[in-house]
Amino acid sequence: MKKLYEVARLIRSKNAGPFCITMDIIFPSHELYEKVLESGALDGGRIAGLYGIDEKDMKRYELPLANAVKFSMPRKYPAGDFMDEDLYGCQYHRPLVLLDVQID
Amino acid sequence: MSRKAVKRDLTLMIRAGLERGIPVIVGSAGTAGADPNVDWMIGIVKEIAKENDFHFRLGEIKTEITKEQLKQYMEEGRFHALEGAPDFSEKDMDTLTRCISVIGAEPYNAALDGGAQVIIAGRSTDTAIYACVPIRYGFDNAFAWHAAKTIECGTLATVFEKKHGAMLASVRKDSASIWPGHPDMAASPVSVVSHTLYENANPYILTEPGGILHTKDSVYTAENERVTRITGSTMEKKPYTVKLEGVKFEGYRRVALAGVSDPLILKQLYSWLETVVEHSRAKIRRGLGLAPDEYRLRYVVYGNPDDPCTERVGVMFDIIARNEEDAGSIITNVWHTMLHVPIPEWEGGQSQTAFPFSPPDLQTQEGGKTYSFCLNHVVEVQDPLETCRIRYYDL
Repeated sequence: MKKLYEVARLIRSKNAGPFCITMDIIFPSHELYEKVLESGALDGGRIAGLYGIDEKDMKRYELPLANAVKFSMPRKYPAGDFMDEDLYGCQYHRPLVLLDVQID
Repeated sequence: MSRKAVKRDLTLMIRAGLERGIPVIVGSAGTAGADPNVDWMIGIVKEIAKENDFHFRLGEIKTEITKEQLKQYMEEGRFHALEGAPDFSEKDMDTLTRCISVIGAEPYNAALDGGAQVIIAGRSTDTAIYACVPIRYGFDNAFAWHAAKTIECGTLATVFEKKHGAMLASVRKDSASIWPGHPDMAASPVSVVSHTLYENANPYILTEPGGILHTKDSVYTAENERVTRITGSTMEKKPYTVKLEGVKFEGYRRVALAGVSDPLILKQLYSWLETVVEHSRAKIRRGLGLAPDEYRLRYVVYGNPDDPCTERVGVMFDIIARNEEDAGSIITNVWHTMLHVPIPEWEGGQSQTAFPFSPPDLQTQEGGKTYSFCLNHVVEVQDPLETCRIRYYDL
């Protein structure tokens, strides 16, 4: 078993407009990208659960040309709202960094 | 950015542009692109022209729209919410401080047609300032927009961002080529395709005012070790819509930052903080006559107080009040209360927090004035220029 950060080249999050957070996981090779996808670690339902939101609200995109998977979700509070703690949405990716991936 | 830094950068760009006959285009002036931001930058450009004896036609594009315009769009059924937009209708109009329209490429080309050599524009899509160039030369196609999307953040779309700088693109009927200006840097198929991920919810759909750029079938090939060619992208023309951004005024903000290190407080940090809030609110009601619903108060904890390895956590108290004076009084009450709320493990007078400076509270810019986004809407327009105002200054 591995943590996602051990097999990814980059895991990051950022605003996509003030009402949406988008997160990218980019792998260093197509082989690793395929392997992690096959393991089911990045299934939409699982990641929605990780962030405590409905599966229908967690959008998932595969970008094989970049060996990347993207997740986008609505923000709990808009960027800059009084209750917001992350104006540019740069630190939402932590749960992904520590995600368990069933590969050797 | 400071006026000095903006003036320095603009001087370099304007000098080089005038010497070579290349138009200089600035979009989303002053970051937000509201009318005061544009005025600020126009003032800087005029000063640069005077000091350097530059003579040229300056184009100004303002994109702020009035409440009357917005009301009219609503009445005509041309105002539409995007997915996840906050509710906003005519009854919310009084809370709206400012509303700007996010223009596309057409206003830039109108200003260039008007002879502008330098353009300072209000809010626009990041891509429009680049896409307007190929469109002007007859390449109103998917590759103009795909190239623009790729180079909009400069060298972020390179393999390794050795230095931050500009990117170059050439646009053709059926393709675009992308490469960085720096000779030791490279744009690879992977680095270019990866940029479709950046600050974009869906990497295959990029919405612009005049339509949607589809990148699902895009093909990225290396022309050489520094240049990547994009083919296969398509543009789906849509009825022209202009996005709106709007803010409402929330009040005056003030914050206090403190460190907490005592292990006996850390083990009960959150209940202790709730006591701080409770005592503060009581004092604020007593001393300032303000009920809890007359201001907003929150705290954010930095660090994990339950981890025995934690030597210190940060606590930020953050308040918003209806006026600047109340904001100052409220935060002083809060940090002074926090300093002395006792824990039962100790007897006698206690001082609980490490403040990193004096006085221990801070104001954000402009007296702490705070705004929040209240629009995520578009308006349908017949004419791409209808939400903007263009004028010229012959310097």
